Amino acid sequence: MRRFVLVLGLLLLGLAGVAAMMGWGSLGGAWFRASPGSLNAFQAATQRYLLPEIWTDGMVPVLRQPAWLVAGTVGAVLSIGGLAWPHIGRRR
Amino acid sequence: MRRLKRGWELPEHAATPESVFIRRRSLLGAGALILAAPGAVAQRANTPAPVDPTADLYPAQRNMRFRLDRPLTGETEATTYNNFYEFGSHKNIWRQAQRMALRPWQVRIDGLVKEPRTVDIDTLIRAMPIEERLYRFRCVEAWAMAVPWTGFEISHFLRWAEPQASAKYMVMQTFSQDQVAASVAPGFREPWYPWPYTEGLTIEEAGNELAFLATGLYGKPAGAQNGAPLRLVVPWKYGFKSVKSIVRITFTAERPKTFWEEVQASEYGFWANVNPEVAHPRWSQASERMLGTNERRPTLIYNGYGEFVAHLYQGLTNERLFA
Repeated sequence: MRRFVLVLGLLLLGLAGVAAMMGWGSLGGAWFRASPGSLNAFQAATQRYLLPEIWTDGMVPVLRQPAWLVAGTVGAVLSIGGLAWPHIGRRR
Repeated sequence: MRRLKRGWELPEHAATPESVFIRRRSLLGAGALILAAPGAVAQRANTPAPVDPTADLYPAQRNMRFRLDRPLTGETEATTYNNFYEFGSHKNIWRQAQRMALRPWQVRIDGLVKEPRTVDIDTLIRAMPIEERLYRFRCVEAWAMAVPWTGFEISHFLRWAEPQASAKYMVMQTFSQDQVAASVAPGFREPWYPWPYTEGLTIEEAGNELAFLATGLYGKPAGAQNGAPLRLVVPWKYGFKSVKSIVRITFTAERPKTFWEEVQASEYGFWANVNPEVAHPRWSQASERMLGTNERRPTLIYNGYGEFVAHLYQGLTNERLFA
């Protein structure tokens, strides 16, 4: 599990680098260009079956951020978590 | 698809009269509105903009040529269960839509016309022969309703707008962020969508006697959630073709790329004619659920309007006419 989290984090950090170099723009814009139908379906599912506010106030602000920033932030958190895993929750 | 809870509904005698409600709104602040009686909230959904300069045109005389094979959908259902992506992708957008100002409103008519112009919506409406028509409405999501629309046949508008002979398509657009702020239409906070919402008909489709530009429903001016002050109604096509709150009509020689073609062309094409035999990639179109009653009815080819429109598509063998 620790290795999985670490690898995922590093992959996202790499993806963030690619996004920054390639100028992917916002996460939502990049997602729309890659797969508009899945983004639309995700929005519809969130607004119709959960709460509209989860989309408008929770997801949209994240999707409007640069793709590199979102991927980099999540990647960094996962990488640090993966590296620190043996120490998290360890009791004396 | 989640349906609005109806626990707040009251019998007719218990609902707040419209005049009292409007007067109350002018006196109470926004905070007090939250505490208003549930009956008043229900009525708000069915109430058009407070002051509609064309209100004297309603109710319009019904055109008896267009008849229904099913009961009319209740007004509450038709005005509180709506698709309008600028306000959200859920069905309860009517609350958010009330924030949109419906006046002043202008419509730009340009492209291949004798004379491009911008017309005030009330001038346009009063220049047209207003009538009421009962139409079936079929959403691509497999729900349906039957609605008394008020408005005018597009053929009258075509004579008024005078498109050039080279015009092959009539392209219609909903408002953009230039006209309505993202704080009112939160869909504009999603700039990856190809706003403004764009739809189009061929000139032959637009000139068909069924093609209608609606200004109201249920004998009253329409509310914003139903596409006020001007929306397309083409009952033989899936509902997403019926572009709402139109601000621009352009006549072109080239077929437009519509909003949904840009988002998901494989599921929502240009023609979008109703056909129970052609399934959506993710669900059947063989039957439809009636709003309000949840009755299931078999879907009809061209939504039952084949005698009016089937001839429009003869010879179009290389087109996806039913998606």
